[in-house]
Amino acid sequence: MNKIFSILNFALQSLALHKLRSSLTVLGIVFGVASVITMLAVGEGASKAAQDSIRKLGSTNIIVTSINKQEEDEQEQRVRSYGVTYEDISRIKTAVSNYTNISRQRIYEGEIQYYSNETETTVIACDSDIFKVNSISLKKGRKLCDLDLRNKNNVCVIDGSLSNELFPYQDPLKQKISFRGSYYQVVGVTKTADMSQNFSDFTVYIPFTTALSNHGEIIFNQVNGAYSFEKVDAHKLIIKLPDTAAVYSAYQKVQRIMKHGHPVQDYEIQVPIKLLEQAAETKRMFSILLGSIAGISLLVGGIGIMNIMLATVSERTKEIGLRRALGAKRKDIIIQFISEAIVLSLIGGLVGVFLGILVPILITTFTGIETQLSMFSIALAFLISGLTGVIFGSYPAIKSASLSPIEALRDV
Amino acid sequence: MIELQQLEKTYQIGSQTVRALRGVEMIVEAREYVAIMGASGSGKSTLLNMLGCLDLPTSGNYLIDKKDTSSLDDDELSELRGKKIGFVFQSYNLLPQFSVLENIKLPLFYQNGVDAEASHQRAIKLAHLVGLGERLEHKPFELSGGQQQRVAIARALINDPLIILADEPTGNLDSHTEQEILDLFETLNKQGKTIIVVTHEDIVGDRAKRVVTMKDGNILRDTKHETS
Repeated sequence: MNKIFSILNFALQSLALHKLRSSLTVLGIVFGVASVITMLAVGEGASKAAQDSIRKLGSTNIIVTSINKQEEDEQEQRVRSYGVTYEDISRIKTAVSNYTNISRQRIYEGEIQYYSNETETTVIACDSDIFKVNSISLKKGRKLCDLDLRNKNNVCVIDGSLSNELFPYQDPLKQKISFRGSYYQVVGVTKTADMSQNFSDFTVYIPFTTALSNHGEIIFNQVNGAYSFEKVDAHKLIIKLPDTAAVYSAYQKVQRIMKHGHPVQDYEIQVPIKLLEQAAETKRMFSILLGSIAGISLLVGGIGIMNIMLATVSERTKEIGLRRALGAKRKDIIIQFISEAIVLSLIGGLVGVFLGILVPILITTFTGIETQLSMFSIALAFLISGLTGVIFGSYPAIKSASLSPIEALRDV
Repeated sequence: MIELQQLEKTYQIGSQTVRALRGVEMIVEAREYVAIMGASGSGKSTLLNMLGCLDLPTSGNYLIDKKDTSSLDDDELSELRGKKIGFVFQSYNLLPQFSVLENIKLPLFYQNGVDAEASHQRAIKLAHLVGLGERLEHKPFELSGGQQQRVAIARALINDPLIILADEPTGNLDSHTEQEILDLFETLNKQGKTIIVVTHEDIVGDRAKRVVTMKDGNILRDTKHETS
């Protein structure tokens, strides 16, 4: 133990003799290690963000979305009819009997009013299960329930940001807001807007059945002056399954049913779990790419160390000769030079780890890009820097020890 | 204690063969103070390298303590150098990054089973012996040439070696300092150290008890003075 300590002490003293040279040598390793950690942190952060937004869709969900595939000239028709039909839904319910929750959605774009206050919102007519399939939680009040649907109650749940907009100084519960001539009583407020709605500003949830009876089968949308009439039974159908295994068999059934009733594919089936798998694959590619860039910079750093160690060895041939004369064996000389290389690269590693922790934090503060530091990448980078020292220090060390004592001493 | 038997050394320089040592025979007993003299090219430095096990003879035998060195491998030779031989060089060869004390202790680093505390005390004692007791923490560049050579002598003594081999130890020093160093050698010899000095200066040879003069790779004269 004492011996190891004095070897390290010797190495430090030798390196301290050439402070500028040593620190320049270390820079390669510093940047190598810092870039390994930073790149992995950025990669990890990006994939975490992607995975989080996919998870928000629900990893055991299947989402069927209606798409308007009609050509421009066909849009001359007053009413466009497309997408998921009631018939599809009842078939799916029969075929995929093991679902835990299911929710239809009809989506209206328009203005809601509270006294003189008008705001553009997305109104979603849905089943009560929507809160379960989309994992929406409430800040206040209650969710929509089956009774609301059965009785076609004029009630709504609004999201937190809309609540702040309309009712900045009063309790939103029991207030009535109007949408296309019908009044809805606010019964609940959700926590912040949820991601599945594409970050749309304001959202109001109303019972599916109430929407049908108040606004009819034909959906009239007026957005930015353009208007349209649609006959769409459900813009979206979300099916939640008990586990991921069930998702795959259900997905095939849903696919078959949808294909059957739709000669034109005016729908899209999304399976978040599949997206997750793709995200994992993308992440793997990303990690390999970033890892190899970082690896190259470490390699360059290592070559820098080898270069400087070789120069050091030829400069210190006389010292090697002296040490041999004083009783140093070949292996003592090898140990000395390798330990100097290791000390160099570990110092570089240490500074690099520090930078590697700092830079992702700076990136996150200044750009808002999410980064995720992992202990694994820190440990890996540190280990690699140590190994770099061993590998690139070995050749100069062995070269130095192969000199015969008299040759080394004679060197001027 | 030291015995050279028909020691030969030939170098190959290009196509030319140089016979640096041509069958040297010599015996050095314990407590002797020998000066090896001769013109450059006489083979005196080669002989010193052989004595210090820094170089291997082409043929012939070199016995230390009745042990033949030709049977030893590289590691064993290193150990022999570390334990039985103390070197003093013309250019001092101190390590610039180390203090006086650390330089003196350097050979102990390559010995096994060294008692750290005892060796520390011993190093301090040796520094006092060579007159550098007040400069233990100084770095070599802060010392004069004579002081640096004293550090080197203390370093040569740290392992309590059988022989001290000095290669032109005063070659870089002025005559006043030279006398001080030679005084130190004399004191050490009186205390029982065996000393072999290689030199071309008569003033150094005159202080030794025995002078071996080399010429053309062989011993020309071997005289003992009964001075001092």
